[in-house]
Amino acid sequence: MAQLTPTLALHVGQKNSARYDTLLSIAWRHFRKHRPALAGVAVLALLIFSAIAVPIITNYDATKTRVVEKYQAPSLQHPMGTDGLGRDVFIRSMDGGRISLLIGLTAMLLAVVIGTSVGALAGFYGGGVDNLLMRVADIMLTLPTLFVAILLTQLLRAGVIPFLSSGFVPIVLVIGATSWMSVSRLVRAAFLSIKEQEYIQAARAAGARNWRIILRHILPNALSPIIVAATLRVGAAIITESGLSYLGFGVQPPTPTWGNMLRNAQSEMDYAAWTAIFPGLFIFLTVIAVNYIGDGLRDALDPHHVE
Amino acid sequence: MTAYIIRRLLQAIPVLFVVSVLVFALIQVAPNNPLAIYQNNPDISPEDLERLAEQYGLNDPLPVKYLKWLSQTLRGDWGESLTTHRPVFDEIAERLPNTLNLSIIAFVISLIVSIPIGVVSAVRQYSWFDHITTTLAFMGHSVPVFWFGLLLIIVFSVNMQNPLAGTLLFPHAAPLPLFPGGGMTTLGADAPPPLVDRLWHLVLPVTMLSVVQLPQHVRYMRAGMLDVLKMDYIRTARGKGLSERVVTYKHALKNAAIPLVTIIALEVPHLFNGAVFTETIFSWPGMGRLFFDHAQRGDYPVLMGILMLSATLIVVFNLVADIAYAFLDPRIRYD
Repeated sequence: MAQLTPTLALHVGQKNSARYDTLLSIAWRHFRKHRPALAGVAVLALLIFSAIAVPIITNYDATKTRVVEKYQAPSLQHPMGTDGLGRDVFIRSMDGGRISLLIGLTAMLLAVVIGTSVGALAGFYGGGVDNLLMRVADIMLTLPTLFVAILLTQLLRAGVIPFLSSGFVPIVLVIGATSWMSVSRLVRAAFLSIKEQEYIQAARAAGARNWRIILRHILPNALSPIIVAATLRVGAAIITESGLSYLGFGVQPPTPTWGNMLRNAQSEMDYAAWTAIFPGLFIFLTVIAVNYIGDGLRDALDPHHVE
Repeated sequence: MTAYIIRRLLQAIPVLFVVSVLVFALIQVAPNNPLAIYQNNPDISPEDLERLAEQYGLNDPLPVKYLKWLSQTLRGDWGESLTTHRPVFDEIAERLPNTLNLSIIAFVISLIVSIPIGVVSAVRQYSWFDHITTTLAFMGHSVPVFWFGLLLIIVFSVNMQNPLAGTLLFPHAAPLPLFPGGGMTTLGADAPPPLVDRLWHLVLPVTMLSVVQLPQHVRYMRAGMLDVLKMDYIRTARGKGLSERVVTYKHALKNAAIPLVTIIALEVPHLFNGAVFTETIFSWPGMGRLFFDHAQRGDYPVLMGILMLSATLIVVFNLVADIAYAFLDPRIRYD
């Protein structure tokens, strides 16, 4: 990509007089044309904004039970009805959304950091290091993810390892630990091809140390597949979180997340279907928005297309 | 090729060994006590509990426990469940047919539906049909599975009535749901004829499972077809004056299906694992439920049996996928 920049810039420069285009502005120009991705950004921004603003504005204690108001159908007062403990489903969804989004983002960061480190080391050093790290990834891929996630959650929750047993720390660790493998393969492949380029040899000849070559010369050029994978991982992490919480292995009530709000939904479906419909709808909306953004970024960051 | 297969199988042995050590440790370190079900039983004294723990080898140090399990397993004995006291093999053999029944039907339906959709979508790229299917595939890819299952129950089980209730097929008097929201068969009197009952109970879980798989299958088929349609030999076939039909369905389809075939091989092991969400929502007594229930009791012989079975299948079918790829595409050679 680094080599492509000058040609692209020159090409664009002929149209835009003397302006020199950065990679970012080129990517943005492509991204802007991807309507579903733009819609995704808008939906996600709105969701994040309401997840933060709604609980503050309404000043509603989402964990307090109000049994007299239980199972009220959607109305003006409770736009998405109330649950079995009389709590407003909409406000709880916004509260839970903040937590679900936070878990999705942090779990993605963890998976990307682990995956990138493993992939970079394996791809750069090759040989024994590569063999060892990729066997570890193979072993992780040989295990049914959900089963391992369930066992790992039990382990962390029990407090065998101090400081990592409460709140949403266990679920973030579990999702991160079970989803870094695809990122590491991607990064390894990028490193393998980039390290053979002439400018890496040039950097080496100029006396750059290994870590400098990895961080300053290879990583920036491997960034676009990482960014795309990271975006898509947010969606996947939110789905995994909601699934584990649904099975009872995620964040524990009364703290709401989109997944654990659905935990009792099945037994209430006969008379209060709204408790099952709305939290899931928010998961669906968020994940589809994130996936469209990822799709748009994939197009925008693809160095092969020139206008 | 034979040498390649033998080498791959030999490589699998250390991988499976490490997997078994890791999983064993993971299960053991989690503080689930298989004897917890007896703890609140007044007839069982703490001394009895201690004796039971000793008898089952629960007090052994971890490496001893592992070696006992390993030597037993290598001799072909999967051990005995610590909570139901039945052989692990029987526990699995009882659940596996239920899971396969569900997952194979769903898998086949997903393939039957997705292959034509993927092909047409690629042949008419950017048509309204293509736009609709790619959008639907995108949505299907983003939907939380268990929520989709809940929606199916709300629509077809809670809100829709079976119009045939009270007839020969469905003797139970109305109101009867259009499709049942759980279980494998009708319990008690007024059950429909066995085959009807069986199929009737399969409809919703199969729908849920196949809809989960559809988007990926459609995407693979579409992408494979798009790749192939750009190839020179397709242009040659057209140039020879062959009809578009022959070009698409004879020349292109066969080659475009190769990626899908390898994906199918990779998905086979997961048919055995069982779908935890589908089985949970539709109270389907399959492998996923078996694991889930025993995970909460720390019943390690059962958990190890399930995990090692699935790890072995994954390793074997990874190899099958690679062999199938080389077999179908002569350009690929392993040495």
